[in-house]
Amino acid sequence: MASLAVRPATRLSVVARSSRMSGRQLIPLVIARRSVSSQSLTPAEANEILVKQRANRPTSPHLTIYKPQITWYLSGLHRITGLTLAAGVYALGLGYLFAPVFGYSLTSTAIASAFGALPVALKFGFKTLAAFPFTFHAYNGVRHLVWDTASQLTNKAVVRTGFTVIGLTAVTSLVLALM
Amino acid sequence: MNSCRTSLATMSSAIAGSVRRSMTSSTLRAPMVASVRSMATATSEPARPANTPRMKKLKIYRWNPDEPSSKPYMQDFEVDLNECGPMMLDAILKIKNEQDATLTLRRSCREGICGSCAMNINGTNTLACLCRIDPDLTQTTKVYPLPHMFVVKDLVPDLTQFYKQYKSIKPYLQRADYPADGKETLQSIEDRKKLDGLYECILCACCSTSCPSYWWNQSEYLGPAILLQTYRWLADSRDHATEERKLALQNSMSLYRCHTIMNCSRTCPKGLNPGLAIAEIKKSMSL
Repeated sequence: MASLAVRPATRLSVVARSSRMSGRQLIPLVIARRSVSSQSLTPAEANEILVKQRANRPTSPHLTIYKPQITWYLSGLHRITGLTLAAGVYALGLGYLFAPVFGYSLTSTAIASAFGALPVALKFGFKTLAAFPFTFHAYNGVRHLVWDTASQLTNKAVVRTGFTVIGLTAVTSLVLALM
Repeated sequence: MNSCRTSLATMSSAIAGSVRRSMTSSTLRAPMVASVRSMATATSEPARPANTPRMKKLKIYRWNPDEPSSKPYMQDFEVDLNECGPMMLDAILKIKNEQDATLTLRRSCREGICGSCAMNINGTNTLACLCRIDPDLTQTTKVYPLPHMFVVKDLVPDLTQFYKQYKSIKPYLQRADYPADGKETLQSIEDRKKLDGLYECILCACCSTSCPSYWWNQSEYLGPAILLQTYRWLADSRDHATEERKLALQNSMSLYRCHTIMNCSRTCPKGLNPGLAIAEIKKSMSL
């Protein structure tokens, strides 16, 4: 089945009207008419146009336009806090191993004494910064484990458990930072 | 209801007007018989008070494949809500009819059952024919195509891969044998109830294109819509191919790219729950 390529074009055409109009004579009329010219294509040629078109197609926007929702925001936060905690574990572990090479010590006594020398506000700030990823990831992790049992997977339950995790995270981080 | 009737009357008078306009250029003196198909008659049109127009602002994503080097852009439109039906599809078609005929979209049933008009409206994926226009005139409604899909033109995404993925799960009954009397494969009422919430999927792709995991892994992850249908066949008591279907999911990508983000169930315009279905599949795979 050959397909037609269609291009818009404006053409003037002369049309003679038949005697559909009762009692009228033949009236030649000049009509300015917008018509299309068509070009025959084989299926292979048509497919080529399609293939060329596909190469230029943009991807529709996603992260930038999708409505912020507790669903994907908390999921992203779970991933980010997980990466942060993992990076922290690596940093602390490798740091503890290699700090003596540079003349420093990352033993718990060394960290405790250096930390104790900081002003109270900074101590509280650092503790919150450390507590928040840990508590959020822990509580949201429990939420994920519950989901794996195929429970609490309605829209309402997702929102409810989501806000519960946020609330628990805030409270627990505060308590840990104040200790 | 009133606005529906009014828009129908407006449309039919617009059609009549255009017919009359095209006729005057060619038939000059013949008495014109207005053979216009119209459902509105003089008596059925209610007397409307002259309302001040309620102009709603819309921003719609545009991209033309005939000018491939030009970047996609957002075009501003304004629609008088007094002359428009209540749903987003009414507004978009009104724009296409009256303001910019090149605006391209998919649409068909206008009642939320075909799944053609799936698009991203104000940030969430839904069917335009089921999405009410926000009457708050201070807010601009943004209309985008389904997220992270190749755009064919304007609001039309390329769903070829989506359909290929659907075909790949073999969405049909597979049985070793059929009833000897040649009549239907029987199913108890309880077993039929297990299919509720699964068979109603219209494959609009709203859920799959709302899933960030599907955004990043579309070529290998099946996505919530297809996995919902996979579960529809896994849960069907009449199907004998359960083990083969589960075997097809036994890899790191097809099923297990789901990280329970739950954007899918949140956005489903038919109220279905793909997230729950996927959780049930994961359970049946491991237990």
